[in-house]
Amino acid sequence: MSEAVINRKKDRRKEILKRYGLAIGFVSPFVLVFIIFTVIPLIMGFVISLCKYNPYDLESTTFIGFSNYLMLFGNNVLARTFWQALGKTLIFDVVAVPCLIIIPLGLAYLINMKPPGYKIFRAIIYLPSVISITIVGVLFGAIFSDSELGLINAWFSSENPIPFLSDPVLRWTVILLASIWWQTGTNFIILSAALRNVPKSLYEACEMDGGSRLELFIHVTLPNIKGSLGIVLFNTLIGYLNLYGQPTVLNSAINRNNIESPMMLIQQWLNSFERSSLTGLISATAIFFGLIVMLFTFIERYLMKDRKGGSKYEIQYKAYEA
Amino acid sequence: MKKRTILICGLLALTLASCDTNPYDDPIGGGGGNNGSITDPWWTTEGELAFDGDGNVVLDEVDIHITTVVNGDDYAKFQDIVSDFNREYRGQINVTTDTVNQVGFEQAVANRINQNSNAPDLIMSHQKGHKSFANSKLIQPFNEIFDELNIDFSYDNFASNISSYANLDYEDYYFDVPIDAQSMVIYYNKDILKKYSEDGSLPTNREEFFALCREAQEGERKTNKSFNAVALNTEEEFFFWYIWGTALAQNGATFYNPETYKVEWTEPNNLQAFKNALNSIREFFYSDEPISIYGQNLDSTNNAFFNDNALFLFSLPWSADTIFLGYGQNHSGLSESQIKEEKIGAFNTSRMFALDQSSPNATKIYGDSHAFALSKTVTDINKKAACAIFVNYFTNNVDVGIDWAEAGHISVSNAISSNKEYQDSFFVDNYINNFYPNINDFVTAGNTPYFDVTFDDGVYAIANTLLREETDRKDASTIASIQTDVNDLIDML
Repeated sequence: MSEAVINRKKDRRKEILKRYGLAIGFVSPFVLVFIIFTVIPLIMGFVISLCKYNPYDLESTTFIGFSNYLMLFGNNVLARTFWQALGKTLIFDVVAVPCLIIIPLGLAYLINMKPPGYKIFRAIIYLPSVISITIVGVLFGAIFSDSELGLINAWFSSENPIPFLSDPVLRWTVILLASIWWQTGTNFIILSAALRNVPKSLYEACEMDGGSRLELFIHVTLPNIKGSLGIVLFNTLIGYLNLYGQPTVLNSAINRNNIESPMMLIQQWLNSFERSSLTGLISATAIFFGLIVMLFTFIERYLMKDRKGGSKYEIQYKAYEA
Repeated sequence: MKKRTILICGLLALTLASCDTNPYDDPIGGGGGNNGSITDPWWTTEGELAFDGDGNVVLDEVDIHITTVVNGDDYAKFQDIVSDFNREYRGQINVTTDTVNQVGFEQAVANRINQNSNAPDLIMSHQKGHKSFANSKLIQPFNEIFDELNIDFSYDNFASNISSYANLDYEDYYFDVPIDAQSMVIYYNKDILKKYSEDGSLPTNREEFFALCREAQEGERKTNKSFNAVALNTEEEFFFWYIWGTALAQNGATFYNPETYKVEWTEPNNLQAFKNALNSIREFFYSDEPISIYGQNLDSTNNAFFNDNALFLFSLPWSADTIFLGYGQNHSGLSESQIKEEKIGAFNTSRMFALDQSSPNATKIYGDSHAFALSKTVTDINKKAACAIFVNYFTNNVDVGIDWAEAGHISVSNAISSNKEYQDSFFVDNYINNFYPNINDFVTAGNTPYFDVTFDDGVYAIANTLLREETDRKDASTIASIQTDVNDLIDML
C-alpha cells in the first residue's frame, strides 16, 4: 500500500473524528450503559430462556431450544398463573389507561383556560408525580387499611371495617385510585404543553365558521395535540402493561403472594430460591411478556399513524382548492 | 425473498416441533430428591489446628460472621449474647452479625454463598429452609470439626421431635444444630380474668376457652362496647404460620407426604382435618357469638389489649417486652415487675383449635425452630473451629439459654432445658414453660426442599383464601385447586 493511500486514510479518520468526535463523546456514556445494562442482559436472558438453567448448579445447564416458550402454552401452573395475571392486568388497563388520558386531558384543558389561581392548581396537580411509589403505597395503605385504624374505616365504622385491601375488587379499585392520583400529573404536563401550542387562529377560524365549544375541541384541539396524545398513550400503555409497583406496595402483608400482574409473577418466581431450577423458564416468560408489550405498542402506533391518503379534512381541503 | 421466508419459517417450525413440551420432568438440582449418603462431598478443608498442653484448641483472632433471620425484638438479645461471647473469647474469636428479613432470606443468603461475596460463615435461620440449602450444596456438615475438637455432639441431646429433622435426611451428617422453638402464644389480662374465672384459673381446652371468652365479652360489653374477648392479628404472616399451622396440627392434618414431598390434602381424612381446622378458626370470627374480629392488624390488637378492650392477646413470644411496655404506657404508675407479676400472664395454644379433644393431636403446637448451619464457603479449619465453638456455646451454655429464653425462645438443648438454674429463672418459670408446656408436642414443617411452595403458596394460601369465607361452602374446591397448583409446581422443580 502506497504512502499516499495510508495518509489519505489517516486524514479521513481525523476528519471523521473532528466532525463527529464531540457527538460520539456525548453519546458514548449512554451507549455504554445501554449496552452493559440492557443489551447484554437481554441477550443473556434470551440465551438462558433457551436452556434448562439453575444458577446454583451451572454444570447441569442443558440447551432445550424453545421448550420453555412452549411451556407457556401448556397446562401447567406457570402458564395458568401467567395468563390469569395477564388477563387481570389487561382488564385493569382497559379502565386505567383511558382514565389516565381523559382525566389529565380534561384538567389540562381547564387549566389552559387560565382560570384565577391556575398556576397553583397546576402545581397541585403535578405534585403527586414527584412522590415515589413506596410513599404512595404508605399513604393509600393508611387511608384504605382494612383495620378499624384505617382512615376511612375509622371515619365510618370501626365495628365492621371495610376490607379495602383484602377484597380483590376493592383492592383493584384502590390501585386504580392510587394510579390516577400518582400519575395524572405526568400526562397533565405533556398535554398542557401540547394545548398551549395549538394556534389560536385555528380556534378563531372554527368559531367564525360557527363551531361550538365541543366542535372546537373535536375538530381543532384533538387533531393538533394528536402527537402528544400518542406519546402519552404510548407511555401509559407500556407503563400499565408492566404494572408492578402499585399492586406490590398496596398488597397487605398477608396478600404478598397474590400475583396480580405478569411482572409480579416474574419478579416473585425469580426471587424464589426454591424455583432457581426454573430460571430458564422464567426468562422465557419475561421475554415472551416483553413481546406481548411490544405487540400492543405496535398496534397503538399503527392506530395512531396518519393514513397515506391524509385525514378526511386534508382530502376535503384539497378537493375545495381544486 | 419468498424462498428465504419459507426456509426460515420451516426451520422455526422444525425447531418448535422438536422441542420438549415439558422439559422439567427430570429435576436438575436445587430441588429435592438428594437424600441418603453423600458420595462426593462438595466442601473442603484447609490448614491445621493447634492445641495447647491441655488439649484445647488455640485460635488467634479468628473472625466469623453470622447472618441471622432474627430481626424482631429478639435481635438485640442475640447481639447481647454475641457480645458476651466476644468478651469471653477476646483475642481468639470475634463474631460479627447481620440480619436478613425472613422474606427473601433464603434467596439473599444463597446468592451470597454461591457467589462467595459477603457470604456468612454461620447461618442462623429457620430449620425449614435448610434442606434446600443442603440440596443446593450451599452448606456443609459440622461432623469433621466436631470430631477434631472432640465435641461430643449427638442429636440425642436435643428435643427429639426437633432434632429428628436436623440431619436434613443425610445419614451420619450433622448439617443443623438445633437451637430453639417458637410459636404464637396467648397473653391475658389478669384483672379481667379474675372477674370471670373463680380462682383465676386458665381454660384448659377449647370448650372452656370459648365459654370464658363469651362470658367475659357479655359482662364487659355492659360497660365497654369496644370489648372483644380475643385480640388476634390476622394481617401478618405469623397468623398463618403459627395459628393456622397449629389448628391444622391439632386437627390431625398432614402437610405433605414425606416420601414424595407431594401434598395430599384432598385425601378424605386429610380434607376433613383441613375443614375442621378452618372451622375451628372461623368460630372465633363468624359464629353466632364471635369472640374476635377478622382483619385486625398488629396496632389494633395491641391497642385493644393495652387499653383493657380484650381479655386475650394472641401474639409472639419475643414481643413480651413490647407488650409489657405498651401496657405500662397505658396504665401509668405501674412498674415493669408489677405488670409482669400482677397484670399480664401468658399461656399456650395447646387444645385451643382441636375439634376432637380426645385426639392425641389436640395438644400439638406448630411453629418454627432456629438452627445453625455452616456455610460451604468456610474452608479454613481454624474458622470452622471458631464456628463450632460458638455453636457449642450457644446450645450448651445455661446463661445463654436463659438470655435467649427472655427473648421468647425455648431452648431445645437438653443440657440447658434440664438445668435447674434455667428452670428456676423468672421468665422461664412464668412464661416460657407456659408458652410450651411440653416441648415434645411441638411440631415443625420438617424436611421438605419445597417449603415455600408447599407452605407459602399452598398451606397458607388456603387459609388466606378461605378464612375470609364465613362458611365452608368453597373449602373442598379451593383446597383441591391449590393442591393441583402446588403438586404441579413440585413436579417442575
